[in-house]
Amino acid sequence: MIRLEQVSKVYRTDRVETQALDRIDLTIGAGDMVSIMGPSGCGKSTLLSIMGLLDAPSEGRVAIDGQTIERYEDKHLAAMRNRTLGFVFQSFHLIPDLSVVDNVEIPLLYRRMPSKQRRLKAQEALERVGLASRLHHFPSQLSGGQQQRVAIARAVVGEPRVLLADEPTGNLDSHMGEEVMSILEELNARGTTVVMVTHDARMAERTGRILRLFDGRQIH
Amino acid sequence: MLRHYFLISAKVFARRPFFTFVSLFGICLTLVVLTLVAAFLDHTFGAVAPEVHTDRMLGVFAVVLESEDGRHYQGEASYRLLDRELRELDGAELVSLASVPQSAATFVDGRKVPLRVRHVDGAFFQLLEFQVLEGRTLTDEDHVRAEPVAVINLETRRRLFGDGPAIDQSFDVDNQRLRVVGVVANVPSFRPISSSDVWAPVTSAPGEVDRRGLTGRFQAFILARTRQDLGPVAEDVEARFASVDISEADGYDRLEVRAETLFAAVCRRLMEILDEDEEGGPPPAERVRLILAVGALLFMALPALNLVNLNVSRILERAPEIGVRKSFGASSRALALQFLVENLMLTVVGGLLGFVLAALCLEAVSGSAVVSYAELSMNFRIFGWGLGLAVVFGLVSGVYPAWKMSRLHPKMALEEGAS
Amino acid sequence: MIRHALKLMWNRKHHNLLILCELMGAFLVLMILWIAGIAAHGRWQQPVGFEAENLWTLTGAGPEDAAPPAGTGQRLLAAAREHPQVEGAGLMYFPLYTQSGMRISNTEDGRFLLAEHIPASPGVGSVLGLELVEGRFFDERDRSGASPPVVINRALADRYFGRGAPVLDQTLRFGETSHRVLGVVETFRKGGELVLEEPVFFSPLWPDSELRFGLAALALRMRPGTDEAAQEELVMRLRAEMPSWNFDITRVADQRQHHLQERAAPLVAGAVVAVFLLAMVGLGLTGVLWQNISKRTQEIGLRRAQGATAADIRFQIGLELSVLTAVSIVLASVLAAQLPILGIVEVETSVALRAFVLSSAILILISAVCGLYPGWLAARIQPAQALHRQ
Repeated sequence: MIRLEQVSKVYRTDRVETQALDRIDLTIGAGDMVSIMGPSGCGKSTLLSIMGLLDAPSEGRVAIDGQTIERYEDKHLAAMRNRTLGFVFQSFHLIPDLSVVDNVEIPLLYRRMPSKQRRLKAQEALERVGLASRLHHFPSQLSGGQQQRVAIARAVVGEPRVLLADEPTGNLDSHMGEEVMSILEELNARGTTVVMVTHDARMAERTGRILRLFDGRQIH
Repeated sequence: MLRHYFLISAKVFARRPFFTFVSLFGICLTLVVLTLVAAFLDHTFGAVAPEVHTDRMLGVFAVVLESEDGRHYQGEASYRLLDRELRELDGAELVSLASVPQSAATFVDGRKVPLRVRHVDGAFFQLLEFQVLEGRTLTDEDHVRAEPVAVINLETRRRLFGDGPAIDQSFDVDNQRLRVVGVVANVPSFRPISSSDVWAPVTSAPGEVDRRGLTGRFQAFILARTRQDLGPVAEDVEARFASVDISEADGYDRLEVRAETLFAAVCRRLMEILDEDEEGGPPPAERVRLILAVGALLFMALPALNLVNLNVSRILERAPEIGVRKSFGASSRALALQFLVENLMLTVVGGLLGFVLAALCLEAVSGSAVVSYAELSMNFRIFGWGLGLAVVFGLVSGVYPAWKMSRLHPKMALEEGAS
Repeated sequence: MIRHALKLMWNRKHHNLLILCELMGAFLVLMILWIAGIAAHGRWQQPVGFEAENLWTLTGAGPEDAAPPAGTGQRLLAAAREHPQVEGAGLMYFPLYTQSGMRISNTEDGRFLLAEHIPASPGVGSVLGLELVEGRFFDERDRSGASPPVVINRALADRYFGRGAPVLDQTLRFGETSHRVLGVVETFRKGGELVLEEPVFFSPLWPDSELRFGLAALALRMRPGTDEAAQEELVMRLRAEMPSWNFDITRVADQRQHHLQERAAPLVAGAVVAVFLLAMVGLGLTGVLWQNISKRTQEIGLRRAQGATAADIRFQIGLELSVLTAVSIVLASVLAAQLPILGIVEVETSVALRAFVLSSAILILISAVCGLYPGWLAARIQPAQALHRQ
């Protein structure tokens, strides 16, 4: 489903050059649930960004769903992100000026879906995460766990085949973290590939496979 | 999609009252000024009563005489010349000859009443639609019978007769005694074709019709049957004057006469004053339009810069939103479009507010005596202009921030928001 | 400290560039307004060269085709002088406070000089109250003589003969005629107070000769306290004299007021618009600075954590704004100076300098006021805020 070949990422500023990723080779199959672990600054988030096509590698090749990304062209990438990938972030990243249901509709918006259908799908997704009663609340009116559930609903509303989660439970207490984790597992059980970055070893153990990174290198 | 953009813009604006207020203030101010200019131009050149047919009206505003030893005359023509050449024009529905207003004094109870008097023929009041308040306007019959009668405007009626009756009263102006047959509404002094205080038949002024020579103080106004006839009529007029015998004109060898729209005539005059009368360049009207457009853009520059600044400074505040949208598949173009729609919405709202404010300003100008008889009011043409200007302003001020916003790197945007 | 702040600004130059442009725009608006205002004020304070009080203008226009018989001017003048309230009367072609007139150019010696030619009867000098600084106004004695006499203003003398050169009895050639300079007035602006001084020369218009254009303006010096009724009497007298002519009469003081109103209106309108523009710039600037401060919470918090006092922070913000303002004033001045250098507009140096000082002062004031609130906000940021956000 996702294949990285010899992927490196170097950040350059005027004087300093930082090697964030060093020749990573990685294959994640369809329907897998994988967690990425490692200390702060080891390149986990960079790796996730590259898998999610939010960032281009300095070297190496990325293939998503059998398609190798040849050119990092805005239009093409936007379409890939929209159809194939879903994102969940540590700090939720809900748009504060939009209501819950408007937030969830965003991926569908960029598919040019008619508004009635959009609304319907967004409602379904919110029902799945147990927030059907909060459609017209604003993010600031929700608890952290609820916000992350909205974010998950937004990530899955377009039925992507891959869900990328960057520390989805990092900002949540254990009870809420558990809630979010079980939703992710349920999604995986229905066939969605889930890749998540985490600090939490207990959460990582619940996934089928753990990748460990250290200083931009894969150590397993 | 657009609905979504509108919705989110409305929400963004409602949540940032200070930003919205400052933006609207700048937009409003810009559009008030530009709308006022547009309104003034419209009331000078547009189809506003009495000149309701400006779109198919031509005028012979001036004749040009030149001699080989370098003398140059540019001014109005004599009645005789225009009367002889212009009465039978193909493609013309009406032709009217009228003098430019001449200032004259009449005295009421020892006080001077300054008046402008225009001598006109019978067709004048058919060509122009004055608002008649009392009595009637001048007719062909008045013209043919050389009746010493006059139509006066409301202000003159007030000054000469106060609250008393006006119709059939007489007054002296210069060496004529005129009987009032009608009172019409005031026409602003910046309408060069129709404005005056007193209108009287040209035949009633002694010697005016038979005055010899080519130069005088008359202009001709021609109403073409259709707009398509404007070109042929103008050519016909030029051709007719090309064959005029100019031996009457003392020592001049060349006569040049043009039939043109009021706007074209004013632009030509303006370009001559500015000494920019290049041969072979685009016609003066085009150049004036260009100057106006450039002037409007220059005037927009500072407010637009202000708005660009505000928007750009808010980009990072909205970085997380942009990051999220990009993550979920918004292309750069979609984001730029979203921002443009937002900005356009703001400018159009500002434009509407500006339009209302401009209307109030016009009312104030009309009420004051800065311009005599100024009665400026809004109409749909000016509304159209205002809206058009608002859209131009929205684009000018929105393109750069939109471009900048859409280029924000999604990963950076998310990190900015997280930190 | 200062170097550090400047380096930071340089690194943020993309962002600062836009603010710089806006400040430059505001400065240019201020310059235009002040230059126009100072120039107009300067002209308004200068004398026009004639005494408008108790001066009336009586204009007459005859039929254009038939030149009036010789002596018409004489008859008009005589008729006006008969009125008991008229102290003196003079004849001109074009009245005061109008733009119409005759302009004549001189290109003989290879230099181009445009001058306004005012034919005037001998009485005009005393009626208008012209003050001659050299020589005298023409009178009957000057009818004979090889070259016709002229009275010129200082502007023409300086440009034709050169500053400080002898002028009296010199020959002034315009067109095909050589004139002899009989007198010099310091200033004369027929168009009125708000019109720029132009080179002018008066040549004699003998009232018993033919009136060339079939029109005439009588300048009438009235006795103080003359009431309006005299207007009708005067017009009636002249009408009786020349029945086919049209006459009109006005007080020059009224024309003066009308002239001032008409010329000041665009200035006032421009000033109102400019004040709003500046208010808008001020508000916009406040918004942008405010936004910047909230974006830089972390930076400022860190500074505080490392021991910067609230005053240090305020100093830094103030310094940034001062540098921006100063740079924009310099750049905009350089830009504005191109216009007179390229000859697109003419502005007197002293006017430009005063406008520069005033505009700079106002711009500095605006940016200082705009920086107050954001600066105060910045100084209030606590170190904990920055750490918390991390």
